[in-house]
Amino acid sequence: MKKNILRKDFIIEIKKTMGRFISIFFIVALGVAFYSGIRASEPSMRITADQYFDDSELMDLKVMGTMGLTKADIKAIGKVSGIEAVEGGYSKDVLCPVGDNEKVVHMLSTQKNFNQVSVVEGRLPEKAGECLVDEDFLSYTDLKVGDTVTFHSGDGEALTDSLVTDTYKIVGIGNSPLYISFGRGSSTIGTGEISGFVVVNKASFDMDVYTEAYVKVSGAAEKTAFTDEYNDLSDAAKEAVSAIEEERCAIRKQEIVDEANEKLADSEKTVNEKSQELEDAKKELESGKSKAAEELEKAKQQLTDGEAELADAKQQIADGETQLADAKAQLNDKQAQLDSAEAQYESGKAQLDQKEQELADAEQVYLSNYSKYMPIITAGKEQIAAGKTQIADGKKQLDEGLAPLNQLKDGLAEIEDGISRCDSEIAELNTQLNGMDSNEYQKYVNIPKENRNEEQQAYVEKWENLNIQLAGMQERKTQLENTKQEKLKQAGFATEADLEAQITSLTEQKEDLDAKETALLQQEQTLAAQEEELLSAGRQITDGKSQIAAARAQLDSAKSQITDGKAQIQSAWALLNEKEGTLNASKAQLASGEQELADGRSEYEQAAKEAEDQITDGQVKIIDGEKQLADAKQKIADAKAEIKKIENPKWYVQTREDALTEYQGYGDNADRMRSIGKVFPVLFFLVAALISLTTMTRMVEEQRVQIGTMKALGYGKAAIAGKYIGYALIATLGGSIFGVLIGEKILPLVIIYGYMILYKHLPAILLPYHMSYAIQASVIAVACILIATIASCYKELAAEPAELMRPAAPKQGKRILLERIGIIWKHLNFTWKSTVRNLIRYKKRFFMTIFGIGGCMALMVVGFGLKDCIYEIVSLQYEKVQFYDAATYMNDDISEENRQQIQEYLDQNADVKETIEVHMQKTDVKSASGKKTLYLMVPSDDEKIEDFLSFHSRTNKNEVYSLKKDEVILTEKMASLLNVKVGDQLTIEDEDRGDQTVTIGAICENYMSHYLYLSPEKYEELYGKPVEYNTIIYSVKDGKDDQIEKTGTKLLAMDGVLNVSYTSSIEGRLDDMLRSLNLVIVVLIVSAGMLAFVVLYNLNNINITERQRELATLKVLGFYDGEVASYVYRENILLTIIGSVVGMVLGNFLHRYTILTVEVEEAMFGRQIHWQSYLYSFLFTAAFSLFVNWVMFYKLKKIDMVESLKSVE
Amino acid sequence: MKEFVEMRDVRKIYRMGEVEIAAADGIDFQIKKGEFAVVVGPSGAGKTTVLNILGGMDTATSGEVWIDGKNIVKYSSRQLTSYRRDDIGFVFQFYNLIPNLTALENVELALQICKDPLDAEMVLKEVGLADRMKNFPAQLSGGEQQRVSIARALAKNPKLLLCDEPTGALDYNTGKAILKLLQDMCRERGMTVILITHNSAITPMADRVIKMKNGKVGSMKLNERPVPVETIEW
Repeated sequence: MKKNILRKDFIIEIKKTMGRFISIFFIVALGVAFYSGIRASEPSMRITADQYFDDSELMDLKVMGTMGLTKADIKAIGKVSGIEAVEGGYSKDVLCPVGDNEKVVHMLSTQKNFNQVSVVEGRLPEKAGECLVDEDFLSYTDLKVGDTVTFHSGDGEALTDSLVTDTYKIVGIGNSPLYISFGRGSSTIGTGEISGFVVVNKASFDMDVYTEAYVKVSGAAEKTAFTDEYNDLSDAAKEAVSAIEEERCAIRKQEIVDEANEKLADSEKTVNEKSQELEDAKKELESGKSKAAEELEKAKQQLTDGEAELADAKQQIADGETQLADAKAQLNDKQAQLDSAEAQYESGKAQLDQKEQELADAEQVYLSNYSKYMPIITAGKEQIAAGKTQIADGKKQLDEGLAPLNQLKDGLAEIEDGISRCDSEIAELNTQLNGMDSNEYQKYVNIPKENRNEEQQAYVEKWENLNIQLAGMQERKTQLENTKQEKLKQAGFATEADLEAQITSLTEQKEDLDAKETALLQQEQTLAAQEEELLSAGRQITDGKSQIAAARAQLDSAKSQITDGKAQIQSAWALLNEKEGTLNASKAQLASGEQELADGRSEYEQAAKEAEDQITDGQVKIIDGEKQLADAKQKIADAKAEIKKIENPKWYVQTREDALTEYQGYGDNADRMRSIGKVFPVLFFLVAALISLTTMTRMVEEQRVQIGTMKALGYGKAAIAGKYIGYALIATLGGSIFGVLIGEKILPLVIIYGYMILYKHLPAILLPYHMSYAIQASVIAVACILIATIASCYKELAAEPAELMRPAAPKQGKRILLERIGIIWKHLNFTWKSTVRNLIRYKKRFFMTIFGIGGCMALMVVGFGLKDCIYEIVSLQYEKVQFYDAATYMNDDISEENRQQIQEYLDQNADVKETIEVHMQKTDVKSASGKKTLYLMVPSDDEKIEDFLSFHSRTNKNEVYSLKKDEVILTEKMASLLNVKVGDQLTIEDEDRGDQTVTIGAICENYMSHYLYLSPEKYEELYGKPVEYNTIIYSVKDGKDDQIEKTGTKLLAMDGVLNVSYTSSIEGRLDDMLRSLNLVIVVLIVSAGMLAFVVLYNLNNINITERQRELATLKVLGFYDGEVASYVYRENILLTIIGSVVGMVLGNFLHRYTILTVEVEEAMFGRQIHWQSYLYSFLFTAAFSLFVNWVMFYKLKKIDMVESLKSVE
Repeated sequence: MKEFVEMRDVRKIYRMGEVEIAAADGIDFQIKKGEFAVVVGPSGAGKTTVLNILGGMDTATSGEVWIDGKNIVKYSSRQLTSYRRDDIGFVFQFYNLIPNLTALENVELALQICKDPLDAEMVLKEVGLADRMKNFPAQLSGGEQQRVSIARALAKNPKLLLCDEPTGALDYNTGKAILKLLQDMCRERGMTVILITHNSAITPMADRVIKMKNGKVGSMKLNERPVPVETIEW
């Protein structure tokens, strides 16, 4: 009954505190799930793969012989102890045309009991000429089932040497357990990179011996792959098989030697025969040569003669042509003249006809005029003659009338003259008198004569003289005038004027007659002229007629001349045409002669060439023959030497790790998961355990009154503690079981699913429960919490019941350190003061919360940090460290010419920005810490290499190194693996020159692979020979990145180019590989986030329950809900911030450890967590915190003041 | 004189499954401003329910509660909070001090949210804690803690001081001292004080005595001559 009541109390307790119960349940479940889940991922990965391997009968060992394996070898291997089964197989690398390219594929035979191919589509090949193709390979070609593929040989030997046919029909698509991921391994042909596999029936191979043998090790199938048990077993079997190698190889050698000797004998015989044949051929050639020369000489002479003749004929024809041309010209000339003459004749004739017509017209006119005008003219003449006579009579009469009048007049004129002379004398005398003074004369005359002086005398005399003269004169005048009058009277005229009038009228009559006479003369003249005119017209016509007659005569003679000329020309043309015809015939003859000659010449030349060719051919053949013979002899010699040199064939016994490309990678990934599993879940689990521990402790402390009461009632300690222990046990055990069930299924599933990106051919994910992890996690969880519960119960139970029943002395408020710093303290308000004091007061809760939040934060930081560090190596390596775009690897024995060609091609390529030659070789180096393999890289130019690579320190990006003559630069990861630092010595192993020591000048940042950079000078010093550059690295111009493959394809087609690798494709491949880690990281982050949420919720829950009374008081005092909440939140926020900061620091350390654990040897992961990752982690934590606070707000609101303050519990 | 506090037919019914329990079953009483009222009655009589409803910590199922002319029954949760903040001072049986604030800080905590507070130090001096101001509650005796609690309530300068068995956890003498302090405050400051107790011996000190019985007011009487606490013995 008692038990029943307790059980009831127990059940009610769980119901009442469901939140707490659930939170413990889930925290434990999360912790256990994460712990066991992550840890179980590793074995689950192995088991998943192992199951696939076992199901598909993947071989445990692969044996390959350098000279193949005979059936006897196979049998011998089968007899080795520890070997369960063995089967011979064939394989060959061939080239498969894909688009314009040729990809290398690995052709393998189907095995009866090994390496079963899973067929995705179609079926397995059943006979020769059928094949099944790799699914991955097929996915990036156009090939499909039913297509036919013709493979090519990659090594110069015909494919049909080793295969029945080179053309195969694709009958199926499938996957092989030999290739669990994308990698297909490497080859010695083509680009050196195998792109896929092709499975054919054994019958397709035409080989005397097997190329390999697959071995199954007894008991290995029961072991899980990738485990030490399995590895030990397969290593032991490998040893055992290797033990029979020597014996088997010796036998194989003998076989080969015998076979070779036989062949050699055959060859020698053949060579001797050939030698004889060659001698015969030589002789034949000589005789043939001289005969040919003779015949040719003859033919040549004939040709020369023919040519001379032809030249003569040509000359003649040319002359003839010239003459003919001249004649033609003349004839044409003449014809032209004749034509013009004819034209003239015609025009002349026309003129003449016209003139004749005109003349006839004129004669007509003349005759009519003559008859009309001649009588008139004759009459006129008679009139004129009569007129003339009349006029002459008139004149005679007039002259007779005039003569007396004129005599009179002349007499009158003489008288007049005398009168006028008298007048002038009178005038003169008067003038003289007028000069003398009449007074003076008077005076003087009065003076007696005597008394007058001479002068006076003279004067008087003169005066008197003059007067006398004057008187005389005047008298004379009067006389004259009288005469005149008299005469006039005599003649009958009154006056002189009448005379004058008479004269004038007479004269006028006379003049009239004169005028008439003149007119008559004129008429006469006119008439004469008219007559003359008429007569002359008649004369003219007569003249014209005679002229025309003469012209006509002329014309007629001209006409006869023209007709003659025409006849002549006609006959001349006829002659000419005849000549021309002859000439043309000659020409045709000439042309045919020339053709004949040309034909003859080409015939001759051809014959000569043929003869020469035959001779040369013969010679070449002989030389070839000789060379072949020499070669054959040499070969025989070589073969002999070789046979002597034939070494023991070697066997390569390989375990899966050695033989399969991706096998080890899968194991590594599983190991990496184990590393992650070591770190993460522990921390995760720790947080979870601590939180549930706190919760349980709290629960016990809360119920002290009840414990006291029970104790007081007399219950035993066990009965009392049982309740709490039971509570904890049910919660943790339930949580553990739930966690294991869920965690071990879901987490490995998610993680392996993530890896399936890489290993997509794993057929099924196997997730068995791993009881060891389940038990580990559960036991730890249950034990931790039970111990904590028992401990706190024990503490409480130790106290007296009375003490327990009193309310627990509230923790004393204490002055804290901060209060001493007055400045800060005074500025805090009470709620802040209370908050700060609270934080300090509940130290356990404080640290728990800090640790809880910090732990989750740290997990997230690590999760994000891993992502940062792993992802960034691709971009860091190929953008900051090696930023060239591609590398071209050349054959070691490439000719200088080919090397030049490649270099020239790159130099002239418009897309290529820059190139540099480097030498790359794999080398072993050692330090005190051990021996490692790395790439030796010798750039041809110490400075130019810095355009392709950057040597710098990781920690200080500004610290850039350059390659020095006497020091080397080592990459960082290798330096740490070898445990060396700058200034240390490093030993390079060399087979020829022994160990060489170099000094490390610098250690540079590098993430992928390991490199040791050397200057060419240092290389020469170390190896004693100049560097032979075997690689050209180059970068393309900006924006020409898409052209890079085109360039690469061209390069690959060139002689001596082994491989071209593109940085972008390496980057892509790495990205693919690393992407599989993504999901793992997401799992980490999500889990950490979930934990953060649960932790925060739980702690807040405790906080609120613990302080319900205090919060109720605040409510009673009138604090609004928001104010109450902020009172609580303040603490949460502070705790979240402090926890986050702690988490960052913790995360940083944890991250460093994790990175080093997770890192693989070939690569260095980044070391730096990006600030964004801290930010994201913080934001996540803060978001969870906010969410929890939001949920808590309602819880706070629901606090019932009345209930809370009622009494002290 | 106007009724300062008045309850009219106040009921508070708790539903416990099928059963209805009436903690208050039609309570009617009035208290005048400046009175010292004592509500007395046996356990379960509904005293605390009355106080909780008056203090705005709980709401009545029906009826009217008039405080200074306002009916708080209709108040929303937020209005009730404001009401507690500005109008009410509470003194609890178990003091309910914030353990990690000093005496002074506990008083100041209440003051920082109210409109017209008194000076914290002065009030603490008045309640006789001048030299214990810097002490944390755990460092004070029960009486001293109750004084801090009273100081915290008084300093808010409330309209109504509600005291729920303030002496319940104290010994006789300390209890007396506390009662005296409350009576003095009432007289000196003219503050309306409602005190709940199951101890009917202290009723003579009150101006008004309300006797509760089974969720109802059994009787209400006015003391013509209230006596000082010192003279009361129990």
